[in-house]
Amino acid sequence: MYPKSRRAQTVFLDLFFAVGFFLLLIGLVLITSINLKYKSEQNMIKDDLEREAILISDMLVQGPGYPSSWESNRSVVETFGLAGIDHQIQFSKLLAFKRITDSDYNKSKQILGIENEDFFVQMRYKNGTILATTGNLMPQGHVVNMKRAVVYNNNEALLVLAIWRAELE
Amino acid sequence: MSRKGYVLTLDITIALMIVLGVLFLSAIIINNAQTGTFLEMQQVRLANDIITVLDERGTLQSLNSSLINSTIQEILPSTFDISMTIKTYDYDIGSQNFIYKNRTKVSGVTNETDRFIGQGKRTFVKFSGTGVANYSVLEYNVWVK
Repeated sequence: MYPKSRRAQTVFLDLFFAVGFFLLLIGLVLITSINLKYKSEQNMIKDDLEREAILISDMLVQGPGYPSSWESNRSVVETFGLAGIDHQIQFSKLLAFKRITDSDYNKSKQILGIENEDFFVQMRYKNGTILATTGNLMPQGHVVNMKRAVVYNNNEALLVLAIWRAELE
Repeated sequence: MSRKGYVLTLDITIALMIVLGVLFLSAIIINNAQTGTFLEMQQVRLANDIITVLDERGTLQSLNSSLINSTIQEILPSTFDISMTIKTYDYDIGSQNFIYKNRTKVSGVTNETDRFIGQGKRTFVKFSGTGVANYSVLEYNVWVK
């Protein structure tokens, strides 16, 4: 009776440890894979943000937008562009962009193609004097900054674009 | 019976450890894959912007290395550094050849080989009252300090 019971207990303990270790490993695999999935999703969003920041800043500093004289009739704007000539920012375009964004931020986001993100744009001279700021001024989460050197009013200036998605760490 | 069970448990444990190892490796690869690319693209764009601005403002055409350097330092964010070489040529109408005139070197030097160095080239002309005074080819390197 006694040896039989002892043997059964050993097998039970063996099984208990084996199952425990197995469950621990399964748990680790699950946690790691969930963490990996989360990280890769976050990275994909960051990649998207970075790509958008590059494309939007290119669009703003390199071209006049579409139609090219959209600033004279702001309701027809399809694509923003602040440059009369490559990298030369035009005052009238900058002002029109600021007015549209200040009055209807969501419309600006829609035209820029970033409905799910937030942004702000700032133009400043190289000495730090701010010429214009527009957009959402409360960045949060992972913010992607893009600085572009431009010419404004025949002086060197910087156009700073910040873009972010609130839920991104 | 008991022995067979043990072998199976060991088998599954080894398999799971391999899966865990693969997952950890993937995590490391995913983390490392992120570093750099955006910064590199930003760095190349910034350098290209600066060269465009210098060209459009006429600063490059001065071929004055201290003026070019001081203008760059005013625009370039402090985390970056840039070096450039401008080779200037005259055009000889008779022989229809470009004749090397001089070379202007601007700004920093890096001996770092383990980091990304963005490179680019731009051609520009300098006009005089009568037409094109000379042609120049600018080559630049940009890197994170």
